[in-house]
Amino acid sequence: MAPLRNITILGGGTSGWMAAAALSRAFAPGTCTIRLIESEEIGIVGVGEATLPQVRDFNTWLGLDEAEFMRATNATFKLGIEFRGWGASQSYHHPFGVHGQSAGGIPFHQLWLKARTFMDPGPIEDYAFPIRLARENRFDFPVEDPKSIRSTYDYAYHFDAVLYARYLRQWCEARGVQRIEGQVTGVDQNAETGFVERLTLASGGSVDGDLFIDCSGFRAVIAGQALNLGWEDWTPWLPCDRALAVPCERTDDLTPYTRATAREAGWTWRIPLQHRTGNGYVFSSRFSTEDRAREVLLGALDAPAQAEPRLLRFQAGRRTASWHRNVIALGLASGFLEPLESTSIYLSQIALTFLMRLMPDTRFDPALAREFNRLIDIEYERVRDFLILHYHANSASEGPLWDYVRTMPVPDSLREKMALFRHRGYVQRYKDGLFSPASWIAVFMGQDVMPAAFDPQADGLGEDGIRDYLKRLKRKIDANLAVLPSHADFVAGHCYDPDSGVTHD
Amino acid sequence: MTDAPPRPVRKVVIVGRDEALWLTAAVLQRTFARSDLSFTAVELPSLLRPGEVLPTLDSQASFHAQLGLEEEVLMRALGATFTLGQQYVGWAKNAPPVFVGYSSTGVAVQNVPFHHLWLRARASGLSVAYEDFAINAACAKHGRLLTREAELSGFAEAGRGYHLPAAPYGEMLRQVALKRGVRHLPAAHVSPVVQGAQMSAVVLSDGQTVEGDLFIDTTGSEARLLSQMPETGFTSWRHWLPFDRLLTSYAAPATPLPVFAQITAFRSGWTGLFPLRDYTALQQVYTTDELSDDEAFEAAATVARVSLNPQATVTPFEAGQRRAWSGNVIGLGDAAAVLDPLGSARMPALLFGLSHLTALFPLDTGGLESAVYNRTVAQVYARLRDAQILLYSLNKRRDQPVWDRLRSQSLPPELAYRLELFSACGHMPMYDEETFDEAWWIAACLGHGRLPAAYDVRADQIAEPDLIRHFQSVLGYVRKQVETMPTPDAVSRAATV
Repeated sequence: MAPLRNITILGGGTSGWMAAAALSRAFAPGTCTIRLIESEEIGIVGVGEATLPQVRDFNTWLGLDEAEFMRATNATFKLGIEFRGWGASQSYHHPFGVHGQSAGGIPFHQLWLKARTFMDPGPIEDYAFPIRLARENRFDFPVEDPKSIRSTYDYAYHFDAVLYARYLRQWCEARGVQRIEGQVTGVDQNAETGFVERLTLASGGSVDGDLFIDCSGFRAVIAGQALNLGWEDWTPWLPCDRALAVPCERTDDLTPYTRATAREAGWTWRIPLQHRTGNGYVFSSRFSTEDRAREVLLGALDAPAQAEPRLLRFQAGRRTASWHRNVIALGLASGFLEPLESTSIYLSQIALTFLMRLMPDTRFDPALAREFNRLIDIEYERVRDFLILHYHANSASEGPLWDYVRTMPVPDSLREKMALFRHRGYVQRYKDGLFSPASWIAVFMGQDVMPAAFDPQADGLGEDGIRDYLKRLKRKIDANLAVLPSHADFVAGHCYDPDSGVTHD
Repeated sequence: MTDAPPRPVRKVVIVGRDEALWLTAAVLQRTFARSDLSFTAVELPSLLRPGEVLPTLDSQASFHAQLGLEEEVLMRALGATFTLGQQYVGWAKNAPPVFVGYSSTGVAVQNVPFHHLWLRARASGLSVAYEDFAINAACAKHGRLLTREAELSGFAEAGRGYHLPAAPYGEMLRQVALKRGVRHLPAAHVSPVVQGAQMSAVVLSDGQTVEGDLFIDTTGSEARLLSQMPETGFTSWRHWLPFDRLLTSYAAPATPLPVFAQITAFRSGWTGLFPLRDYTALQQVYTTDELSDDEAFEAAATVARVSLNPQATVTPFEAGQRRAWSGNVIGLGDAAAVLDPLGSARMPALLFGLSHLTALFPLDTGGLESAVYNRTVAQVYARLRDAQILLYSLNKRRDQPVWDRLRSQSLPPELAYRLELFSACGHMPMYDEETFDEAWWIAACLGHGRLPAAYDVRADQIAEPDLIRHFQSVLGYVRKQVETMPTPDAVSRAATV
């Protein structure tokens, strides 16, 4: 075997520094040179980033101290996402957790559906501990004991992605990763093999490598501009192609969740950080002008804006092969799915997980790239379907964008999923890829995709059994909820840094 | 899709025989006891052969728990035994037997899976077999049973299956089903009544007509009901799985009692010994191209080195599958997929079909659930089939026509893909619907000598002395656990008292 000795990463955003961190963790000190090229001149996407619980696995694997990392990145806790204006109820939560608690293997929502046939059980969200926690702006860590209601959820973070990249950079540089300041102006490929051999810089120098990781964002300097790797456009399903982002002052209540509010030509995000709130409006240029979008965004803020809104352009889709020869595209260079379900850091992270598992040597066996691309495809397609569901099943918003997405043809995989849920509340579990049945159930129910009937397995408990079970569950949730601290207090005690969050703009 | 508008499912008719019929009836009746459903079991004459055994994987236990069948009772009343895996003998000439068990092997270091560490150490001279780092294989070799008292946390994940004597097991399930209120109608044979894409009734041999909204076919490979439905033609897997005869017989119980099945290859097939408390069951799989039934019987006794009961039965079979759910008829077990007996895959196939049916039990005769059901179970059956084709393809019995062919044939695409990747880098891709876990696939490949060309580069970063220490600690742990485990005879004696 001829192991990799020299890896070059292009781009120093979140995915670039995550890649550098993962690789320097994977290779023993001194065995592989890891270099990252970035330019201070190029802006970094990301004003307040919402994450998924998986990011904790990444941090834990690196050995980061949670409180220190949170202080350094202005971070708060996240229990899920509140969706406003996507369904008849005006507000529903997609929690990192489940509705109810296990009842002999029968999914909770089936018991609730059955309960509705003989009593008024109230909203299903009343039975979800993480949702109740979020709505009351409380936070505490989950516990492991499966008997406790406090084991029914997980958590992630909101943080400043620029600070996260900077924090990882320090971590990487302390472990020998070399940072090269510069702009890439050329990509040299071997004339015979097509393998990339070096990147030339504006300064005149060049950087070689055995493996190149393209984290240059939408520009995809290596994978797109130089290699011209194919791109599959998903705009017909996900028409939003612009975002305006702006920070505003923090409000008194620190919500332990992201908010995504449906608007006339897209949706706005609200991400609470320790010192300020990140906001943005994801919209479709087909259905809104930039001026109108700016008005909508500024009108949506719940505190004074701290800067002028910044415009980002993108296109939903993914590269048909993220790994080609000795180039791997990561992050936005590999695909883009709007942040409606906070998946962007996850998608970089899972790609790195696959790379760790399929680490090539200098022969670059094509079987490795093929498997990597197969797994990435599954990830992107499953997230894509889930995002399309939000738009397609939106039962509340009005306007030409919403008329379009409600009537557009959706992928067969999604259509079948919706039909089975409408028929009987069934959600098939899959092994690879994001979003467990609990997530699908939360969004289906939140957006009024209501099953016509329940699963007959729910008969097993009997009417009295269900009545009793729901009563006890509610009591358990109430009792546990009352003793937990507010999110603001918890952050203040755990990881508050009065000086962070003001170090960049 | 249907001729008449869908109507709610109320009357469920299960037609079949033996364990497939009664397991299905018992589980469905138990799960839907409070639903507005009635279950009728139409029992056809048994096809069980004397001395027949049902080998299972560890998934069986949760079904038993669901039915309220206690393990101790099962062992005591039926004379069932535990199995920790399979020992393959003669898969390569002059090579030691290979054990593929239901447990993990070794322990990862710094997220580097153990088999990569083993591959690295092997490249620098380690001679300890891969299976020696597996708790199930070590217990099996030393004649010890891995009990629930074993201290596994952090070191190993282990499971165990059963060898179940088929006749008393089926009888026990029948009792459970009938006690729970399943209506029982014996019949010598049945004639299905199909109108368009729906089955409306079955007419029993005594002339009685049994109507139903939903029909479940557990009749075995003839698929008496399902085969009458549209688009349920049989897709043969014979080009991958050429064996077409199963010989069943039995011999005296083995002492001491082994905790595994022994599968011995011979020129025209293989002979499996499945130890039970009161007898040793024998299954022999072979091809009629090479062996007459009499020759097969002689071969069985010779290969297994036991004195066989002359009451041997030969059953022809052809591996393959058909669409499991068509209209209002659903096939379970052999009615949906006939698997080769290798690797004890038949019972888990039945169980998966049944549990997926429980999760998708149709609300009406429209069969909206059938597309997802068919796709899922077809994947499960195909992955089980792939596991068997893998085992066969890993043989090294050169110059024996059947085995040469099994070794050199082109593989189903999903299997070819995973083997190609594993051979390249030691990583085993896993698909959505797998019965055998990653540990099993890797153990099967490495045990049978399919060694990857490369291993995870991170394995090289662990200092040699640390790696040696790690191997020693794993072996030490395995040894210590094995010593504390009882022999199966001791457990069996304790259970009989």
